[in-house]
Amino acid sequence: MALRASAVAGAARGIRLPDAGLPAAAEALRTEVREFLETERRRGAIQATSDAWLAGFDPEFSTRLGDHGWLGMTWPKRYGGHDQPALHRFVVIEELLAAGAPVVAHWVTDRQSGPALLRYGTEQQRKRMLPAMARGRSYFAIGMSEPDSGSDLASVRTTARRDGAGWRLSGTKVWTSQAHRCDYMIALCRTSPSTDGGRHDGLSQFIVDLHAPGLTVSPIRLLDGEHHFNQVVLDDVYVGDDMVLGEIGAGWIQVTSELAFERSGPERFLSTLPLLVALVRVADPGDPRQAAAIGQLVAQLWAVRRLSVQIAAALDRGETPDVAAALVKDLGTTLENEIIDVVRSVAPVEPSTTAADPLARELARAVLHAPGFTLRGGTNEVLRGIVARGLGLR
Amino acid sequence: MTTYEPLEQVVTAIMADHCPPEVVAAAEGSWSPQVWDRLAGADLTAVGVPEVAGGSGGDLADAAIVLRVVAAHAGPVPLGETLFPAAAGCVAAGFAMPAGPVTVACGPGLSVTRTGGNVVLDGTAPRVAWARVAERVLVVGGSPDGPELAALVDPARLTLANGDNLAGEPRDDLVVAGLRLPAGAVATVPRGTAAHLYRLGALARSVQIAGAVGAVLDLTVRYAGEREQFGRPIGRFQAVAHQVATLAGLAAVAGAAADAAVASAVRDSGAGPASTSDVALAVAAAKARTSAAAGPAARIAHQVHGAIGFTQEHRLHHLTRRLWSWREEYGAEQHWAAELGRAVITAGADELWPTITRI
Repeated sequence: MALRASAVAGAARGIRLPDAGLPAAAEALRTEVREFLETERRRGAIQATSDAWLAGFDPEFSTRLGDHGWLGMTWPKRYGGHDQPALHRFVVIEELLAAGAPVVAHWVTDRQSGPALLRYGTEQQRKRMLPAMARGRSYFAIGMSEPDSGSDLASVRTTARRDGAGWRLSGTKVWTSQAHRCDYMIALCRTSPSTDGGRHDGLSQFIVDLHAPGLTVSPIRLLDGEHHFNQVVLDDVYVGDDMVLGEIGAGWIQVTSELAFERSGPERFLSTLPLLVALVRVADPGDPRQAAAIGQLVAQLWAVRRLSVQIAAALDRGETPDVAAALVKDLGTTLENEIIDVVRSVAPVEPSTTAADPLARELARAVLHAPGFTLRGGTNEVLRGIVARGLGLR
Repeated sequence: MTTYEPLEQVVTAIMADHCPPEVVAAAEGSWSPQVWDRLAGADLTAVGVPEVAGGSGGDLADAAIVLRVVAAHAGPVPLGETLFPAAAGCVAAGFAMPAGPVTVACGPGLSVTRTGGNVVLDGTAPRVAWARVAERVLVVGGSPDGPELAALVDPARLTLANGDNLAGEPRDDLVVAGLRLPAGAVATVPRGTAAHLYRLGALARSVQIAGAVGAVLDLTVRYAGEREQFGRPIGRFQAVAHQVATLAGLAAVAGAAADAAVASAVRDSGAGPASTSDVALAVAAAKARTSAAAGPAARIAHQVHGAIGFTQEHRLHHLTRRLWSWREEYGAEQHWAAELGRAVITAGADELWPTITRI
C-alpha cells in the first residue's frame, strides 16, 4: 500500500498546463483597448453591470469593435480576420468583459460560430460569411439545446431529411440566446437514426437563416422578465446543401470542439466583477473582515484568470484543452456565485433593481442572473464529469 | 546545470530513487542529510542563487521547480528556506551562501544592534524552521530607527527549544541574549528586508503546498481507480468522481497561484522590498489561495482514501500533515488575504481590474 512516489506517475499532470503570461505586444494592445473603452464610456455606450455579456446587445458597438480589428482576431486575413494570436484576443475580450461592455450581438459569432466555420466550413462558406462576421455586421446564434435535450445533447430530436438538393429541418430549439436579433443559427440535427456504433452517430450541423420561411422565434423570458432566450420552431425549413456545416454525420465531433471554445473564456469568471468593484468602492481598509474577504476573492480571481490565460496559450499552440477548460469554467462560475455570498456577508444591503445605491443594484442583478452562471455552456455537474474522465476515472 | 534533461525530470528521478516513504518517515523529528546530499550532488540546493554568491545560477523559477517536486515527495530537507528567503537574504547582505542548509530568523522579536566595534544579537524568534539542523541561521533585525542588519550565525551559538510541526519537521523556538559578533560578520541590508524575507518564506510555502496538493491529487486519482467496492472502482461513482474533480480544481488553482507569484518575483527581481510592490501583492494572493486550498484538498483526499489513508502505513499522511502545517507557516490565508484586501481597497475600486491583470 505504501506506494513509491515514482509509481504515482501523475494522472493530474495530464490536465496541468504550463504557466503562461501575456507577451509584451498583448499588453501594449491592452492599453489601446482601455483607451477605446474610455471613449465608449464617455459616449454612454457602457453601463458596467453584471452579466453584460449576456444582456448588452448593441450592434453599433459591435460594428465599432469590428472597425478596430477586434473581432475575428485569430482568423486568417483572407477571410477578413487579422491573423492575431489567441493571447491577443484574450486581452481584448477580458478588457471588454471587465468593463461590462455590450458585447452580446457579436459574442457567440466571434467566440465559436466563426471558428466553427473556419474549421469545418467550405471555402465558399468562409469567403461568403466570415468577413461580415469579422466586421461585426453578421450575428450567429447557437442551435443546440432542445426541450428534451439539455445536458444530454446527443439526444436531440430535430431532424433534417433529404429534399432534392437540400434538406428539410423540423423540430424545436430552446435557450437560443438572441435568436430574435441574430441572422443565422447553427443547428444540430439528427440526419440518421443512432446506430449500434453509438448515439453520437447520425448528427449533423446546418447553417440556418433565422428569417427563413417556416421558422418561428418566440421569447422565453428570464425570471426577471428580461428577453435573451428564445424558442425556435423549425417547421419543414428548407436549407440548401451549400449550408451544411462540415460533414453529414460528423456533427457530434464538430459540436464538441465548438464547446471547447465556449467554455474556456474569461466570461466564465467575470460575470459578477462589477459587483466586486461596487463592494471595493464602499469597503473600509481598516475593517479586517472586509479586507480579508475581498482579498480572498481577488486572489481567487487572479489565480483563475491565470488558468484561463494558460488555456488561451494552449489554443495558440494548436491544442484542444477541453478538460482544462471544463475545470476552469467550474472554478470560475463557482467564484461568480461566491462574490454574491461575500457581499451579503461583509456589506449587507437589501438587493434592489431600482435602488440608487450601486451596491444594492448590482447585488440584485447578480442574484437574479446567478442561476444561469453554473448552467450555461454545460452545468458544473457535467463539467466535473468531464474533469473526472480527463483524469481517467470514468 | 550539467544536464540537458528538463529540470523537473531530473529532480523527480532523484526524489523517486532516494526519497521513498520510509526515508520520509525515518526523518521525522530531524531531517534527511542523505536526500540533501543527493540534491546537492546534482547542484540542486543552490539553484536560483547567483553564481557570484556561490550558487549554481538559474532564477527563482528554476528554484521553484525544484522545490515543488521535492515537496511533492514530502522531502525532509530545508530547501524552501535555503532557496527562497536565505538565498535572497545572503544576496542582499553580500554573503556567500554556505554549502549546507540555511534558514532565516527575521521576526519582530529580534534585534541586531551595533555597539562600538561589535554587533549584539538579542531577542526571540518562535518556530524557526529547521534551525537545529541548519548549517547557518540568517538572522535579520534592527532597532526601529536604526538600519536593518543581517548576520549568518552558527545555530550552536543560539539557544533552541526544539519543536516540530505536524509532519515532524523541526520548528524551533530561538532565544539569543547578548550574543556578540565581530562587525565584519554583519552586513547592513535595505530597510524592509526582514519583511521581504518573511514574504519569500510565504512564497516558498505556496510552492510547496502546490506541489503537495498535486501529489495528493495523483494519489487520490490512483486510489479511486484501483479500489473496488460494489463491484467497480469507487471513482466510477459520480459522488466520488465529483469530489476528485473538485480536488483537481484546488490543485489547479494552487499551482497557478504559486506559478504566477514566482513569475512576478522573477519579473520584479530588482524591485526591492517594498510591501506595496506587485510582487508583494502576488505573494499575498498566492499564499492566501494555497493555504486556503490545503485543508479542503487534504479532506477530500482522506475521504476518498477511506480508512487506509488514515493509517501510518499509507504514505498519504506524509503529504497531508505537511499541508496542515504549511498552510499556517509564514502566515495563514486570513493574514495574507487581509493584506491583499487592504491594498486593493486602499488603491480604490477603479484600480481593482488593472491590478489583477498586472501582478
